[in-house]
Amino acid sequence: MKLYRPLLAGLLVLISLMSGCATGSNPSAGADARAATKILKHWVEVSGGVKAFKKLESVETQATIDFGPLVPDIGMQSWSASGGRFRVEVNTPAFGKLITASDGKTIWQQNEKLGFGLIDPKQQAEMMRDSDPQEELKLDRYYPGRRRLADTSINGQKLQVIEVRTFDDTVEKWFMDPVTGLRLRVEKAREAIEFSDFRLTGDFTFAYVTKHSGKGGVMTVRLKTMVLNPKLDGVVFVPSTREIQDAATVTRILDGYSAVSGGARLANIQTRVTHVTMEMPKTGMKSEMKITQKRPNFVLIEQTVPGMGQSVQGYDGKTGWANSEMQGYRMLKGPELQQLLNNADLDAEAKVSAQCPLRTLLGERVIDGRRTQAVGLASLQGSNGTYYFDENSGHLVRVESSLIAGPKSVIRATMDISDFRQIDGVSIAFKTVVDNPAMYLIMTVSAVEQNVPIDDAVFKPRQDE
Amino acid sequence: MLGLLWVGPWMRSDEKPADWGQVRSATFDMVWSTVNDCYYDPAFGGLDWKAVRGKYEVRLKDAADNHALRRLLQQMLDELKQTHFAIVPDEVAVFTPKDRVKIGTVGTELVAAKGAVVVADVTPGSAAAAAGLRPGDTIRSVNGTSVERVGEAYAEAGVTAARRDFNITQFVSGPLHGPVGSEVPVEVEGADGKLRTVNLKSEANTGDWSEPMGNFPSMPIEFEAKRDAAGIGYLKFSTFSPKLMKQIRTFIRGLGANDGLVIDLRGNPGGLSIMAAGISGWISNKEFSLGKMQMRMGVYSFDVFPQERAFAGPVAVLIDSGSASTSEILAAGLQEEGRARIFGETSAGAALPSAIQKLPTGDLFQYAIADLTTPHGVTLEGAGVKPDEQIARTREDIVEAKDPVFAAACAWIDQGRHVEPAK
Repeated sequence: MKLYRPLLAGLLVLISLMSGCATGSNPSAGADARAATKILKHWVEVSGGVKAFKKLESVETQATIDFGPLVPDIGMQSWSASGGRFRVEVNTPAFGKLITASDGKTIWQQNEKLGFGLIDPKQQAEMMRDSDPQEELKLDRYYPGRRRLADTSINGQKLQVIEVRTFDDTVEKWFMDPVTGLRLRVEKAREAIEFSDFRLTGDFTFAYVTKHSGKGGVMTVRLKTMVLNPKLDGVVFVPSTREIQDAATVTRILDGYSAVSGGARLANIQTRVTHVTMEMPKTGMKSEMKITQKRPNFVLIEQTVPGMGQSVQGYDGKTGWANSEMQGYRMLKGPELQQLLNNADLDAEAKVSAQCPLRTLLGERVIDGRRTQAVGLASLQGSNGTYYFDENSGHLVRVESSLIAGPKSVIRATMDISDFRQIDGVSIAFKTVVDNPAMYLIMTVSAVEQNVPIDDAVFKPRQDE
Repeated sequence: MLGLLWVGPWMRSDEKPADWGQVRSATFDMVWSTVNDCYYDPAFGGLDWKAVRGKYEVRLKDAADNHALRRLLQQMLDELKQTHFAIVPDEVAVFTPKDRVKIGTVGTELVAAKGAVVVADVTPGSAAAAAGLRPGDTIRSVNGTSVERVGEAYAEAGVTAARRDFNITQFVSGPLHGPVGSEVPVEVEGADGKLRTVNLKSEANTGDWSEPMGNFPSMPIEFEAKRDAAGIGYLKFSTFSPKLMKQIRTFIRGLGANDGLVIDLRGNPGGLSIMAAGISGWISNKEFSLGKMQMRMGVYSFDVFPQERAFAGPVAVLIDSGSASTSEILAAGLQEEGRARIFGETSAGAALPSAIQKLPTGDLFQYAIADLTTPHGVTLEGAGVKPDEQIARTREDIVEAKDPVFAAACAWIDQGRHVEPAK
C-alpha cells in the first residue's frame, strides 16, 4: 500500500501531461533564464502550441497503472477541467474505488471502505498546478524561476537540462530532447518521472507512458484513451455537504483528543519510563513489562513472563529488533516495526489526525454507560480501526483494530482504555484491556516517570552472546 | 499453547463443596461459554453448540459430585470430536513443589507397538524394576481394565490408528503416574508370552520439573543430549518446556559443521508451541513458517527466525504415535520446509493450540483456541504427520534393544553430511 504515495503524485503528473508550454513574460533575468525560456517556448510549440492550449478546457483519460510483475495492474480514470477542478478514480484491489478530486478550492479523497478526507493544504499547491489543463499558459505563475543548466547525457542520449523553481518553492530539473523539443524526464525531491511513447492526439503531442520512480517503488502509467474537451456532465468534483460536515466533526473530535491528551505539552515530554503489570486472568498468566521511550523515536519494551524468561523489543533510531528466550533474535521490519514505532511515539496522540487522513463518522455509541463518538480512521495503507472518543472528556476510550503479532500474524482485538491521569501535564491511561476470543489481557500501569535521563545505548539491539 | 494433558480413569476425589449446586452450575456455564466464545470456528464445524448445552444441562442436576460432573463435562466436550478439550482434575495439577506428590512414577517408559502398549525402558532401581518389568513387556490391563478393550472402543469411535495408540498409551501411563504411594495392579505379558499381575507402587519424581505457567501446571521433565564419536548429535526431551530451551540451544550450538542432528520427539506430547519456532531458528539459515494458528479473530504464524551460527548440517526427526501437538508442529514444519527428514510412525494428529482455565471446582479446563495448518495448508488435527520413512519399532526390537528408527536416521545423516577434504 506504500505504493499509493507515489501513486497520488503520479496520478496528478498524469493529468499534467496534457499541459504543453506557453511563452509568457519572463520575470527571471539573466542569460541562463533566457536560455531556459527559449527551450520551454520550443517545448510548448512542439507539444501543441499556445493557440491550441487556449482552446483546451478539459481532458478525460483512461489508463492502467503498472506496479511491476508481482502486483496486478490497476485501472484509472481521470478528468481535469479549468478552475483547478479534477477527479481521479483508481480501482484499488484491496479497497475498491479510490477517488481524489477537487472543486478548485478543496482537494478531497474518498473510498467506501476507508472513508473521506481533506488533503492537507500544504500538499494542495502541487496538486492544483499539476491538474490545470492550461498549466502551460501560466508558466510564469507556476514556474517563476528557471535557468538553463549544463547539458547532460543519459543512456547515450544528449539532453538539455533546465532547473525550474515552482511557485510553492520547490525545485525541479527538466530534461529536454534537443532534437524533438519534448520533455523526457523530470526530477523532483522525492521522485523521478520519465516520459515516453509520444503520440499525436488532436493538436497535441502527449507522452502516453510515464514512469515514476521513488522511495515507494516504480510505477508506470500507460494511457489507453484520451478525450479532449469532453462533456463533464455527471462528473462530481464537489464533495457532498454531509461529507464536509462529517469531516469537520471528526476534525473537531481529533483536535479535542489531542488537546485532552496534552496538546502542546506533549512536546515537553522527552523521555518516559512506564512500568506495566499484565494479567491474563483466564489463563492465570501474569507478567511485568517496562516500556522506555526517548525522543525522537527510541523505544525499548522489556517483558518478563514467569516460566518463559525475558522478551525484549526495541528501536534505536536505525534498527528495529526483538529478542526472546523462546524465539531468539530478529530484526523487525514492515508493518510490525511501524506498529512498534507508532505505539512508542511520545506524540502519538497529536499525530492521529495526520496519520489517518481518511475518516468515517460512525455516530454515537454508548460504552459502559458513557456516550462516545465512533470514528473509523484510515490511511491509504488501509484501515486503522474504529476509535471511540468520550463525548464529555474527549479521551479515546476504545479502539477496535488489528494488532500485528508477527511478520505474518494479525489479531483483531478490542482495546478498552481507562483510568486517565495527568502526569506532568499530559494524560496517560493507566488501564487498558485487550479482548480477543483467544486472549483477555489487562494492562495496568504501576508507575510512570517522565523526563528522566536515559542513555541511548539502552535501545541498541541485544543479540545472543 | 499447550500439548495434550491426559485425563485418565484414576480420578479419585469425589469432592462436593457445601454450595455444590452453585459451583456445579458455574462450572458448567464456564466450560460451555468458553467454548462458545473462543472456539476458533464460530460454526463449530456444523455442530449446534447451543443444542449441546441443552442436551447436557438437563443432566447437570444428576451430577452429584465433582467426579460425575467431570464425566458430564468431558462428554459434552467430546461432542466437538477434537483433541485439547479436557477437564484436568485438580488432584493431578502440580503448581508448587509440595504438589509434586500428586504425580509419581513407577520408572517405565511406554510406547505403542502394533496396537499394544509395550514397556520400552525401565529405570534401574525403580518400582517397575523391582516388580520385574522388562523392556518388551506388554501391558494387558490396568486397574482391571483391558487395554485391548479400550483400544477397540477407540477404534469403534472412528479415531485413527495413531490416535488410538496415543490414547491407549496415555490410558496406561496415567495410573502409573498416580500420586506418590498409590498402587496400581497391572497385568503384564512377558516376552515369553506368560501373563502375570504386578502391583506397581508410585514413587516420587526426583528429577527436574517444569515451571508452572499461569494455569498450565508443572510437569516432570526429562532431557537427554549427547554426541557420539561419529559426530551425530542426539536430542530428546519429554515435553516442550521453556525451562529446557537454554539446554537445547546450548547443545545445538555446540554441534560441529560436519555433524548431524537427531531430534527424537517420540513420546513427546507437546508443550509450549512457540518453542518449535525457536528451536527451528537454531537449525535454519533462512526465515520460514512452521505453520499457522487460525483463531476466531486472527491468525498467528509460527515464524522461524534464523539465528547466528545456526546448525546447518542434516537433521532427522523421529516421531511416533506418542508425538503430539507441538511435536507435530515442529516435525511437519521442518518436513515441509525440507529442513529435516522425518522417521518413524505417523504422529497422533492432536495438534490444536490451547489454553487452560481454572474452574470453580478447582479443576483445570483445557480448550483449543485455534486450528493449526502447515505451510502447505495441511490440517494436522486428526491426520498427524506422516514420516518420510515409515519405520515401526516392534516389541521384538525393544526386547533386543534395537532401535531401527534411530538407525535409519543415522544412516541417512551419514549420507548427507559434508566430508572434509583430505589434507
